Amino acid sequence: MSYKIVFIDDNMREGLDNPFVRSIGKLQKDAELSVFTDPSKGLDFVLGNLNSQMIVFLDCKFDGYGLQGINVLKQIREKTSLLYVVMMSVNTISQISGLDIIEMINEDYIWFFDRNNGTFTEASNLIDQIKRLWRTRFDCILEEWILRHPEDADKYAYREVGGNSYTWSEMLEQLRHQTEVGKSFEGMVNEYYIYQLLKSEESHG
Amino acid sequence: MEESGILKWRFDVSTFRLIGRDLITDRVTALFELVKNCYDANATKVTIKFDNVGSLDGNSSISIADNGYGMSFPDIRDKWMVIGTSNKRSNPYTPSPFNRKCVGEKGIGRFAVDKLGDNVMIITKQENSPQWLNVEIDWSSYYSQSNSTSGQLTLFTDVENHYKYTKAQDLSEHGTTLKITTVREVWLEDDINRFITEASKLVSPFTNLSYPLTIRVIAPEYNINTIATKTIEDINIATIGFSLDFHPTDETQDTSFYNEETGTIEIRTIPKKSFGGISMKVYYFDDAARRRYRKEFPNNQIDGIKIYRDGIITTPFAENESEDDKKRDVLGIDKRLWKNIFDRVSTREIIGFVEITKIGNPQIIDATNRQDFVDNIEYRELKDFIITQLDSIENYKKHIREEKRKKDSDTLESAGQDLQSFISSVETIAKQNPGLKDSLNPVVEQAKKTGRAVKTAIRNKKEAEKEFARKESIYMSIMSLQEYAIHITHAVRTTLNKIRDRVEYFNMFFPNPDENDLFKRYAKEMFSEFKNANRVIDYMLSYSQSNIQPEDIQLDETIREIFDEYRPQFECNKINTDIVIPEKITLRNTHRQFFRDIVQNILDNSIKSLKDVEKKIIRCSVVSEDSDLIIKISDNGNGIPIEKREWVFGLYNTTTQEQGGAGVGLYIVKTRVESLKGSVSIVDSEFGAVGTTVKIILPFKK
Repeated sequence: MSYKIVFIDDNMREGLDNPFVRSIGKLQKDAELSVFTDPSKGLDFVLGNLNSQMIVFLDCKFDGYGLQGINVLKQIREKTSLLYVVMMSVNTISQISGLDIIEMINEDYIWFFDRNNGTFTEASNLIDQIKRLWRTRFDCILEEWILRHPEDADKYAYREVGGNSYTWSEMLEQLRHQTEVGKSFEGMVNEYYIYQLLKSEESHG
Repeated sequence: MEESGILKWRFDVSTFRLIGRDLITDRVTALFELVKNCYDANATKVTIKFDNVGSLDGNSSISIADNGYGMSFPDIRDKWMVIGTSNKRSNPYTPSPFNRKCVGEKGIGRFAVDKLGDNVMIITKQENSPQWLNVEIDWSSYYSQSNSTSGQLTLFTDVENHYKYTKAQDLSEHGTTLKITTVREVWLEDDINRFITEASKLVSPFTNLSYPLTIRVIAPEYNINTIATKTIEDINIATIGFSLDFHPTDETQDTSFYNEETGTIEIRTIPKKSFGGISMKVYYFDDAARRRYRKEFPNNQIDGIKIYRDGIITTPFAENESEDDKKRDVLGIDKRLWKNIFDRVSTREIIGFVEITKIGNPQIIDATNRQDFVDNIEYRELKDFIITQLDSIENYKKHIREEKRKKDSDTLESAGQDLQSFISSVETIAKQNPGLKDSLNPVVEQAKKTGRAVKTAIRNKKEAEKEFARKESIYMSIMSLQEYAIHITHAVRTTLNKIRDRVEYFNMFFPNPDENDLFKRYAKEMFSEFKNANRVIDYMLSYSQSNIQPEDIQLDETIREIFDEYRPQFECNKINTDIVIPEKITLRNTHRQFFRDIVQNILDNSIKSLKDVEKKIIRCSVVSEDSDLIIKISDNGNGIPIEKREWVFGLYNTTTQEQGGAGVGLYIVKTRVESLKGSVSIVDSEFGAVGTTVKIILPFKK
């Protein structure tokens, strides 16, 4: 399964030749890498690719840019809370403003990578950890299903009573954007499986 | 008699009137309260008409007509006519889009009406209602009933008031008119004028931008027909103010600056900014002006800069907080760290309006939580732009502070001199008239004593000033040291990390024949990072050198000396130089090494940017203008894009990376220039479309 890793860091001027980026590329061979030194260009890229599986390595401090890491994070979170963001900093946690830390902690799917002490292998382990999550997450499973069975993409997954209908690929988008419809659909599917498993247990037992 | 039962409170008319009289002391206040209610009902026009109020001949009336949102039947029945509705407002702001801060006291209107006259007709209509509601309340009939000889007590709650509906001509009309007849007290011309003065204070034109209220007062018998409310143009209580516009024809934006020569704030134009064109008005109030303002507009405060979109306030998040301390300073005016600590203007000293439009400023977007705008580059630039405009006021404040300090000293000095000449004249008189000597002696003694006190005062003042200057400079250096420490540690860290990443890469992946070139490149980069780190550390250490003694330097000599040292590099790169220094200039009390650092770093940058240019030129010119020394160093190289003109001064920011630029040089230039109390900027190139001109302004005395 291919996925994107996006690096947004003003110090990665060497682009894909940056040793950190290159190492991650070597350690995570199935990843498609992109590097941005300008936070707003990085943000545009991320927001333009919300339908792909993506991990964003995001620097906290951008010298000479208006936009800072925490602002990029906030803007990503306005669009989706499913994206995986790894905040990076050369400063120690204690140097980051308390309010920014609170905002980061209160978000789902956010990691912190210490650029001073963290090794390439540790960064790669973080990516593995995120990938394990992907294997169990509903939206990721659905995405893989659609990839393997493209003929199912336009079949109807769900009809709201007196409301809209959604195909499986439309539902995937609803899940990625964490809409009410997407969230309630996920809940219903989970309940349905618990029910089915219990029933099959009864019939077997 | 029954053993048990119930008893009810009863309330007679005179009690009602008694309460009213305690609440409202005089008729001007009563009328003013009614006008406040019009304002709270989002009216934009109120007309108060007095008829025959001087003679009270039976035809007397006062009418208060507004175009506010009007009252419905339930409003009248359940609110206006219920005594004791809560005095607390559930919402201290009027309905949007006006969002006015309510000024009236709730529940006082009916008492105010009673104070003014015996009979009132309320004529009111809300928008889209097909009819006008007319309610007649006749206090005099209550009164006569309650005083009736029948001995039967008339209860206030038993009195019947009549209402009727009349058809409306126009559905869209709305408003309320109170027509008070049988006016109780005589209104003389003076009384009406007193009311006009009060009404003018109701709301400040400074806070009344989107939906201004106009109060017209008409009294035919006194030939009064005037507008009581004031406009910004009418009053002139701000200390200083300026307004900026956007010019759509040539897409230029006004920006303000403080002209030290004229001591005024002036306007110049710049290309349109990313957030679009805006117009802006800012008024600054010094201590005295603030006192005047409080007196003129007790209902309003001086409370910073507000942003209006298409005429409607877009910052209700700032406005809707009734406690001042909780108001969010969304523009960050009061949060600016260390900025001009002594002359910084705060939101309590300025009133400003920024006008943006939906079409002209599409990137300034309301945040969904209504707490701020969406934090994007354009909004940041807008905030920066607004705050930059305060610079001119801050410079003005600084100028005034210095002027005042100078004036105070001058006054003291001349008082000392005056005393001296007084003493000598008295002594001359005493000499010429020995008979007066005895009586004049005590005067001379007293004057001498005062003279000594004045001298001490002058001395103390001078010492206090010196002490203040010393403290100010210590404060500034601590602040710059803090900023400097943050930069340097970040810089060293970044360099170390760059090296560390490469070492780690070697450690993990070396050797690999496919990547030989990359390994070589990383090795070279590590070497240059070491050089960078050394340069930063040397720079850091230069502050601790004991030989940084202030000295006088000959400008043209020093510049030529540096250029000579660069001669071999210039020749090898085929760079022509041109030095234009028309006069002998001595920079007093400066740091030679700092000055050399500045010129050298700019030359290093120029050489890098000239790499791919055919006919290479570096030009250095110096001119002195009054108290400024202007040094321009220009090249016809690659140039710096306009949007990066400020950015290049940040540590590690470079536009010449391919030529080995590390982004340290211009950072050093900026910090060095600032430590010499000057300023540096990238301006339009002297070579026109190509190249870069670095302009340095240093303080200078001829």
